[in-house]
Amino acid sequence: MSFLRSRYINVAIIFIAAFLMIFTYFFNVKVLSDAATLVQTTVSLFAAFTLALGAMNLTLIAYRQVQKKAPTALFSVLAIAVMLMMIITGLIPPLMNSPQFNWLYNNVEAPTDSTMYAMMVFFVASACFRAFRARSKEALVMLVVGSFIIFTYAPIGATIWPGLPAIGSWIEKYPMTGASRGFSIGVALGGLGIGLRILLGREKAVTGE
Amino acid sequence: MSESKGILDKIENMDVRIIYILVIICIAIPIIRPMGLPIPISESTISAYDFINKLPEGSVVLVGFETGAAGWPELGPQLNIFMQHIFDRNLKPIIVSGNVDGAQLAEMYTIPKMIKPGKVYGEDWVNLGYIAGGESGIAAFASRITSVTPRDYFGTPVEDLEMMKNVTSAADFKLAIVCSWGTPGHADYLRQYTTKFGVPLIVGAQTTTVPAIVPFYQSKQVVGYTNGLRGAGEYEILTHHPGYAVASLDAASSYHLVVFVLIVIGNLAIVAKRFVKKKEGT
Repeated sequence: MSFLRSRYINVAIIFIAAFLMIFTYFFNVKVLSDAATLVQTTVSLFAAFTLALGAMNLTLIAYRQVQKKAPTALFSVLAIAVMLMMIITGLIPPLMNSPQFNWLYNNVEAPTDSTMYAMMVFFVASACFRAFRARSKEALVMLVVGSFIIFTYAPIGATIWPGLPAIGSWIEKYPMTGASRGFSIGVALGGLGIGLRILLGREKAVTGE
Repeated sequence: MSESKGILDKIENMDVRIIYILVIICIAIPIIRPMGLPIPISESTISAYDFINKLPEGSVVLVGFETGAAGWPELGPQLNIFMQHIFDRNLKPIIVSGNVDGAQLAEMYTIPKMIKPGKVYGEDWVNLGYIAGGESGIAAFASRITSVTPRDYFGTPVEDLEMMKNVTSAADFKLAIVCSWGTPGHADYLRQYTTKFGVPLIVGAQTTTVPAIVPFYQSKQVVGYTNGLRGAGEYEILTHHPGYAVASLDAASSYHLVVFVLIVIGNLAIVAKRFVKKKEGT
């Protein structure tokens, strides 16, 4: 059994899976492509199972909250009740499309989700007022650039002065794209480094050591 | 002097409720009484529109509804107008989603509004539902569609759908459109559809993600993109279907204006305070 716990098994599995992905990305060999698709499908299957895992985890947390008589226990119970309601109505035929499920989705989930997102309008306005203060030279640069970008994205910018969106577009096209490319390349190189470490079995979190 | 300092302090630390009331008023007024501000159309939106317009009739287009209900107010108008243009052009969309409720949002809020009379499910469009597994799921779907979606959203085997008879992998797509609020998003689509299979990509973006998309648009890896609600409004004008997005843009404009005015007031208060302090010192 100790052999199964060995890091070499983990590294070998990771190496084979990674080899399949990398090789089939560049070359089209049917047997290997089929094997790669199988691995990807398996990941997709595992991901579907994680939804169930998430539901179980949520139930466990709620159970512990109730057991401890925590002040937020009522909300936990409510969350579980709503989750169960969605699962049960979702299972009524036609699956995920019953009138009960659609009613809940249209009248409970969609409006509450949208409201949460829409509330950001207020927080952003308040945050802009408090954060965009020219207390230093760097903050002043950010303030000026941010203002140009605001008027590039808002149609009123061109009405106030056509130069506003023109300057904003220039900022977007050159300095911002340059910085964004640098950032992307940095992330990609970092990813490559981590990938190599994983493949060589040096990433302890992945090898289970 | 100390009286003016007190006023400046009050302005600098303005009660958040005043800001909220200002925001409500500035959004409500243009919705009740639209100003009809001109909407200049961005080059990236025109590019997306032109690309869809040039596709031959009957081309298969993948449309990724990569959003949940929370992202719908910004991404929904973009998805709706893309779908309307696709149906107008007699293209054949395949709807998928890596978000649990994306495919459902398509069936509830897009198809009933945008579908044209005479279009038949399975022949003119299909909804393949949810793809689990993020980028791995997308990669499997791109290699062989039935590997992760053997049945469509309604439970029909994919082989039984007339439109899917000659569509087996991403190589059969003439275009992919993705409207995303996170992952899976444009980066996953770029890697798995564009780079690997050469499928041109159009992105319907949230305004906050635009800086990450512009480099790909400049390098021509993304053929066009629409920028949030504004992009949707521009597209509605291009397709001569002015709707929700165009109506909302006046409110967006006045909101941005109020945010700018608040920023200016905050900074003026700081400058005035410095001036008062200096005067007190001398």
